[in-house]
Amino acid sequence: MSDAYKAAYEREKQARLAAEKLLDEKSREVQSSIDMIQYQFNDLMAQKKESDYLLAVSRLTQTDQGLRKSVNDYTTESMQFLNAKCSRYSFISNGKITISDIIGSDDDLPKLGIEPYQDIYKHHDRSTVMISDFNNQDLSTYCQELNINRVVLIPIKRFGKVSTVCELYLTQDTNFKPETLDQCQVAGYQIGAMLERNSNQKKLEKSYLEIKSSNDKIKQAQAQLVQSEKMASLGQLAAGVAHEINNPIGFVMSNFSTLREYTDVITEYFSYASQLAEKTDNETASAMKEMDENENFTFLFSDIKNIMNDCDDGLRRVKEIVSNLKSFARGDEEVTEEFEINQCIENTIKVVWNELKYKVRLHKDYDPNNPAIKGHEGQVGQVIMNMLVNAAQAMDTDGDIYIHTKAQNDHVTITIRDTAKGMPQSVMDKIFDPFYTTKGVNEGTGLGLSISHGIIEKHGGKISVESEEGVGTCFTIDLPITVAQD
Amino acid sequence: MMGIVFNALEDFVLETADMETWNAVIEASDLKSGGVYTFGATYDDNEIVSLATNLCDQLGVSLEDGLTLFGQFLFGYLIKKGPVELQEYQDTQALLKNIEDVVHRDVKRLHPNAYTPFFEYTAETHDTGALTYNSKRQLCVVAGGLLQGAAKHYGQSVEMEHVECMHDGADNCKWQVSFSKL
Repeated sequence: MSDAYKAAYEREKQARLAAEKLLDEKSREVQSSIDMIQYQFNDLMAQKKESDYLLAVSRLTQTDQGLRKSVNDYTTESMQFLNAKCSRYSFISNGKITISDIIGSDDDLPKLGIEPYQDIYKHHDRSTVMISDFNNQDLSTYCQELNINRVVLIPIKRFGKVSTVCELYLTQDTNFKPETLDQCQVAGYQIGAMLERNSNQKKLEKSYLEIKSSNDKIKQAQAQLVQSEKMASLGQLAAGVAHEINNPIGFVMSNFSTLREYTDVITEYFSYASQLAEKTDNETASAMKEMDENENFTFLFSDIKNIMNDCDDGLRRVKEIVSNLKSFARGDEEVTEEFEINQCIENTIKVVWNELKYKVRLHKDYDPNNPAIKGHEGQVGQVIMNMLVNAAQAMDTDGDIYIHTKAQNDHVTITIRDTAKGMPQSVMDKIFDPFYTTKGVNEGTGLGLSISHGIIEKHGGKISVESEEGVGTCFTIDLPITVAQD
Repeated sequence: MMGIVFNALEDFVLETADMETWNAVIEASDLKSGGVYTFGATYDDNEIVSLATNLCDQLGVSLEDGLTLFGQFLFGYLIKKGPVELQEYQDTQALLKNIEDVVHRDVKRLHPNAYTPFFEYTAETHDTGALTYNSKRQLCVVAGGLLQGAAKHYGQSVEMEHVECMHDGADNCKWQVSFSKL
């Protein structure tokens, strides 16, 4: 080899060594870059998992699924986040512990007593406990099969107290950064806050309903007060009128009875007088016979009897109406008494008959057992009266009202159905509200049905309405009965 | 300066002269590297100046002519061994437009510490334009040779007028260039 090529060869050799060294360095650089990328990739995946977990928990906190479902979902998410083998959760209340079924395994993990949980329920801190520390042979055997060596206990606090503990069972191969457990704990706090929020919300809703119901009751009471004042005045007036009529009716009836006796005597006497006139032949007898022919005394006396009967009937009816007025006026008495519902309805019909008789055909179907209820007859009558008057007012021309009573077990059902014009749902929804009326100004106060509702409730019963426009309306009243009578 | 340029110079000498000449040039130059050059390594800029000067002395040509010739040779060498596929460009103008964004970027990707000269081509018509060059090495002669080498590679002839030069105190070197198809 010439010297020239030898020198060139030497240079090439050195150049190759330099190139190999360079390659080596580059390879190391590349490897370290790959390592770095792998590390960053792992870190990124961990971050993704973490953000997925937090997102899932955050979603959980946005929905109200109830305590059990929320805790169950949180436990499942945390189990997946920590790569736990299986999990479960427990609730403690009044010193009793309730442990859920296992999540993530088909078998059932042996349940522990309250003792292992006491610390965490007391100290509020999450902890990692080795399975061997539980000193539970069943649990140890079970965990050994699944390669589980420890359990992470995460408390969920509500209103400053631990109410739930999530158990996440980890295998020997499971590992994670310490911050990961912090994240689980923070997520647990969020779940706790959500549960608190939901619980507060429910309490708030309950209070609102209570207030609303109290408000309704106050309105109802107010309406009832107004009506009772009115009824009391009306009652006094009715009682006054009844009393005033009662006296004259009393002596008219008494006198009338005497009058009837006198008439009988006169009639008998006249019969003898007539026979005598037939057998006698003188001027007076002729005049008597002539007068009999002209006036027809037989007819006159029979007509007097009829007139007397009619008058007697009329007087009795007046007496009955007065008596009904009195019972209506007694409506606000505090003492309750037992009364028959059929009779109460009958009495009410008599009071309002004047308003019904020209347009209503009344169909009555009473329970033959005469069910009796205990309460204020006047008030129940007032309810029936309301139904009947309303039905008549809702009829444009004429129509039918069907009244039906039927006792069943411990209550009697009264239905009052009409064939009037009916009403839409929107009206039906408000029909028992105080001061709600479809009638014109000065025609109705809007109190009638509201008071009826109050009266029936006071009697421990229920009132409801069904209606169809153009067909009619049916009120159903249920009242507790005392004893079904024969 | 990247080892690839020294390798190119060696090939250039072996092609135009012989091994003895290259040995003599190395001998004559006071080289820290001892004349051993590896493709991907970086060497002192002074070595190329020293080698070029001694080479021109040996060959008996002016430094400017020598560097121009080397520039022409260098383009062909780079196109074969360079990192980027330079064949894909249709003409020199297309190459010049992409030299910073594609070619030099690729060089920096493989050799983050490499120093690359700056080229900017501003087209005036399809065939004419202005080429700006800047480098701490101020090797505008080599750059001119490279441009000629490129034109030859793409089957073009190029007319160049060196209107501004860093050696005359300008900030950049500038050529007015005009290409035509051969």
